[in-house]
Amino acid sequence: MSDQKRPVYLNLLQVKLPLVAMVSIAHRMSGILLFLLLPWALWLFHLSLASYDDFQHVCVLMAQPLHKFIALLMLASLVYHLLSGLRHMLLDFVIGESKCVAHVCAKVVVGLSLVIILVLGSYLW
Amino acid sequence: MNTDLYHVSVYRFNPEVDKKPYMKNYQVKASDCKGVMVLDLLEAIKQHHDPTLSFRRSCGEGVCGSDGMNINGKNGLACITPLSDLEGKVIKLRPLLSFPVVRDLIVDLSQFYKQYESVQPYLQNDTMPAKENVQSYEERKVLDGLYECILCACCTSSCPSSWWNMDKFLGPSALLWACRFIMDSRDTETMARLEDLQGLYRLFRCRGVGMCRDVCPKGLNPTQAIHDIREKMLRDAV
Repeated sequence: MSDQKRPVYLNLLQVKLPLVAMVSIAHRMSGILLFLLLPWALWLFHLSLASYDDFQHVCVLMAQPLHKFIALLMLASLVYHLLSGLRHMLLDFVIGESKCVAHVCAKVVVGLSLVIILVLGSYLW
Repeated sequence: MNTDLYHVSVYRFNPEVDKKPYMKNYQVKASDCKGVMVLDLLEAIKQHHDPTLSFRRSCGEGVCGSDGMNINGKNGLACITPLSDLEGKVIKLRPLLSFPVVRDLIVDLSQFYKQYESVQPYLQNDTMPAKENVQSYEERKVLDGLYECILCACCTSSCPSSWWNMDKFLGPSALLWACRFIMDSRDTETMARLEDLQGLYRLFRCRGVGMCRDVCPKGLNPTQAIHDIREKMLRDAV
């Protein structure tokens, strides 16, 4: 029988992902987000170094809610990507390989990221 | 889940009749179930509601690995998954993820077995002794957690790297078996086995997501085995 008559069940919305898997997948997503937001950061950085007036313009831009939000999004991605990346590096050193420790590590990454992102958010606003 | 009536939603697909799969709902009396496991629920549906329902089963006690399926979103063996452990009002039973569905809950595991075969899952020793191949207690203990795999495919089916690269990445189960023979003190083909796993995909496509470790019904840790193979590669290279 041909494979055309054989459907493949792969509905990602119905898959129950453990926290460890969600942390790992979010690590990649935060990396993509960082990459996508990099041009925005480089543009602002370039503008801020062009002249005194442009620097002032960047200050005005950064006071706007939209740019603040983008900055927070980028910082959040950076913090999460960094902490989650450290977790991956620990895995390379065979730390956190067991099911139990892996779950604890994942919870620590999520918890610590949330705290740092909240602190950064309150500082930005 | 403790109830007198089980609400069950089962993935159905008969290639001779159905154009596409669908979910069919059943209400099963707890008294119709001869046991307390998900497999007993399936048997009750087959006996009392729909004899056309198809699923694999054999030993019924988590040894043969025949009845691997997706139970409420998580892969597991129906025969050792207690109904009392399931959450939610409706029990959703679907086939293993990412494998072609032959019929209802039965999937085609040809690719999975090809992966298993490709790691040469048998002892290779060019100096096989005439009498016996002695192994110390410590050497034998290294194999604990590696040899118990029953090839139910729950892990490989849960692995995101396998979903997208089933034909190139070996998957957690085959790699666990590869590790079992790489670590065996009696096997003399260790270097050839490690060489065979080189490249971007066969071993290194694993990204450490850890779904395999989370779903293994035997409590094994393929993620650890994959890391052990990589570590051995590194140590042998320096």
